[in-house]
Amino acid sequence: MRISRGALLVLIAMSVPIVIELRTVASFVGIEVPLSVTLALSLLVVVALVFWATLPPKQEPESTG
Amino acid sequence: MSAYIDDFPEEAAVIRAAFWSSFVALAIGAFFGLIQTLHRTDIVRIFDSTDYYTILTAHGVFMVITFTIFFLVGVFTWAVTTSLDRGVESLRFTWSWYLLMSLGTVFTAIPILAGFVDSIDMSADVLFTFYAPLQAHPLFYIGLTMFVIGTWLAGADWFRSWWAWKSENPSERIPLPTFMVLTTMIMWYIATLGIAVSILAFLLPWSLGLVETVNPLLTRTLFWYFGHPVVYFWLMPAYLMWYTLLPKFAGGRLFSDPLARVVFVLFLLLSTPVGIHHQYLDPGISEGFKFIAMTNTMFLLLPSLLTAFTVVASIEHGARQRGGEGYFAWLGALPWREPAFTGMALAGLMFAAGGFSGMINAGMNINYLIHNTLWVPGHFHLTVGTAVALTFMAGAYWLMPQVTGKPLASKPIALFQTVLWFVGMTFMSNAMHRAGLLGIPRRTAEPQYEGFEFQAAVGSVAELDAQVAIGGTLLFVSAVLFLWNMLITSFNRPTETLPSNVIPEPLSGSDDSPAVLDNLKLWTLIAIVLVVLAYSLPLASIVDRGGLFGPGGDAFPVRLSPTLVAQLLVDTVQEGLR
Amino acid sequence: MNIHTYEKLWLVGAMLLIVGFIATVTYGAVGVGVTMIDDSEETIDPTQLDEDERFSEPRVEQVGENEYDVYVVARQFMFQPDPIEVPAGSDVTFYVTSADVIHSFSVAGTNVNTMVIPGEVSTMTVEFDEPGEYGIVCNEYCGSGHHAMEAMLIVQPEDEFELEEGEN
Repeated sequence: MRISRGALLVLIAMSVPIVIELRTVASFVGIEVPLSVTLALSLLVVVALVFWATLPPKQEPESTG
Repeated sequence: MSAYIDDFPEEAAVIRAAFWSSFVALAIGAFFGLIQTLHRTDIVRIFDSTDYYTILTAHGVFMVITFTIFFLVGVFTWAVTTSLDRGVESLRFTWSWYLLMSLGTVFTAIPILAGFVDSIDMSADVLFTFYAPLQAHPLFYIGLTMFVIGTWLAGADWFRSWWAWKSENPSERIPLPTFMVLTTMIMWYIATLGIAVSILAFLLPWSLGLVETVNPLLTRTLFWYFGHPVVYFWLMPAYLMWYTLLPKFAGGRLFSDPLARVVFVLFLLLSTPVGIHHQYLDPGISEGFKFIAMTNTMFLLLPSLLTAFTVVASIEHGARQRGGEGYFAWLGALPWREPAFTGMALAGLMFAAGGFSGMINAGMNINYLIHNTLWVPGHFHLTVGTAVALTFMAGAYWLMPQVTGKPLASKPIALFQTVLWFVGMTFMSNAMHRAGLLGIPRRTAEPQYEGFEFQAAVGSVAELDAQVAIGGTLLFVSAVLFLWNMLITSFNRPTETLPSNVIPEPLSGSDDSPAVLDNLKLWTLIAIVLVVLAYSLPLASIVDRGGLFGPGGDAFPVRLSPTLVAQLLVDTVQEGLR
Repeated sequence: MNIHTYEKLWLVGAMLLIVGFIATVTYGAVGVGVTMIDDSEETIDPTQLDEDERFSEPRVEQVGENEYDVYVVARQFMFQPDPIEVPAGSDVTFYVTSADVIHSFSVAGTNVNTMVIPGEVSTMTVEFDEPGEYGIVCNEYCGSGHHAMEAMLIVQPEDEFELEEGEN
């Protein structure tokens, strides 16, 4: 683990507002993001965060949260 | 080095009682909150829409009066006794204010809950703001008055402790936590004058039939004279915990004692002369008075912005003490496994978001767009509903073991609960803000209209509804987990291994604070002058225009009158025939 | 008193933000001309609206070439008149009062929004650029039928607008 499980939980929680508001921000520049894409994207973010967090520390980071 | 209960067993019993009064209110309030989110969004409607307002009144009063204030009197008692290192002067007096507050709560609750039972001719569906000429049963006003007097006596209790301590330590500075309690209570005494006059001079005699009419604009203005500072009455105990406990949890200590004192003095001075910003759209108040309230409100941002700096700096200091490094990597060194820390940190983060939406509310002209829309509850669920409520719950995870001598039932569940509150509130509050921008009103059982539909800019209204319902449900689950944890903790076996009840000294200590900051008489005087400046002319103008008892008008007791029932029946039948 | 350099910078930044906010609001009021609902109207007895010249008959009235006055009464749980029909591109002044409790007069999706307090008259002048239909809601809780309180505002194209019979 790179970070503690508690920190991972908080990190995932903090991604929620970003994913939700991404839709609104995208619409400002004229991109309509459907609900299904938002759901898929949020799943992807969670998986990416978990993957990143469980990598052994001090390795070359390949994916970013 | 010992837990609070070892040093102050009798005071701990009062604090436990206050906490449990608070938690019972939270349980009822949270249940009603769940019903509301599902009802408004038309997902499940268990109750009749006319009963929605009984539920809404109960949710408002139990959450923002009973839950918050009972919890904070517990916190304040803990803060004063701990920081002065002396028990209360008279336990009998302490219990008497607790009992008066409890009795007041019961008296207020009876007419509210009687609103569910049609056969009892008693009701108080007037919501938390009780705007005349909507009229509640007299018991509602009597109960509120008793509750407020209870808080006045509680304040007197803490002042007595301080005076007694001062006579024994004449040359010492007021310890910071006690200073915070005293300044908050002075603010509260000034603020509650408005509600006392409103109830005792007008609403109570009117509900008893002693006077015929009231001036709705006057009682409304007196309510908001109290209605804004009460927000800071909820918030100051949360700030107290952010300043005293949060740096300790982070592994460090408070950055600056003098700045903390400056912040609390600013709140004492500026909390009250701003209430008219809730009345930007009221007729009968001139534009000039609204402008003055607006500028005062903007300056009230200052102490909160200073708090943001001090709290983050203190946390960073703690993280670096724990071995954190780098520009941002120190964040990883914080004790995220600790529910008390994580809960308060998330609460602080959400308060920043709530602060931004509050700046929109305060903007006099942009307020037209969002006044009384769902944006407003979206805003205050971030402030009182998270900054305050989540900080209190997080604080309880540390304070309950201190006042019971028993370890927390489950730390992982506690951590999950605080994170769940954050996620649930993100869903609910975000959708509420956005729905407000579409003009969807607050405080209504059915924001679905016959003649028109609200148009969403992004997504659809149905999606916003779903988001509100999901968020509300998560919040309810979170509240249940919290209450369960508190309940099991109370039945736990006592332990000897609790952390000791110590508030660490700030990095820049009280020796650095100018002595004038502790001159409470001076600050009280300035606060009163500011209130007189901000309110004497508007009040005089309102009374001059409409008279003390208004330009006439009937009272509207909020119970289902036979004619109204008949009218609603006719409407329903007509709708069915259409 | 010892204040850290970063804290001083933050303090200056915070003050600039506050002054900036006040400046934008002032610009909105003075520059753009967003006026606030104020105390320009006399108080009125809400039980005597029947005898009031303006509110005994809630209506739309033409008062100038491109100027219209609208007298609206809000009461549990309706607005009068309903629907309200006004032309696009004209100055429309609403005068709204309440016959009973506190209501609001809020045109959904616009910034036409005011509290309606018994005894007081709210006024605001607006111009609707485009024809269209807007919902009017009461957004202040006014009793157990509050959620049923709604009306329509119909903005007619300028050339098609005509006041109905019986209205002057």
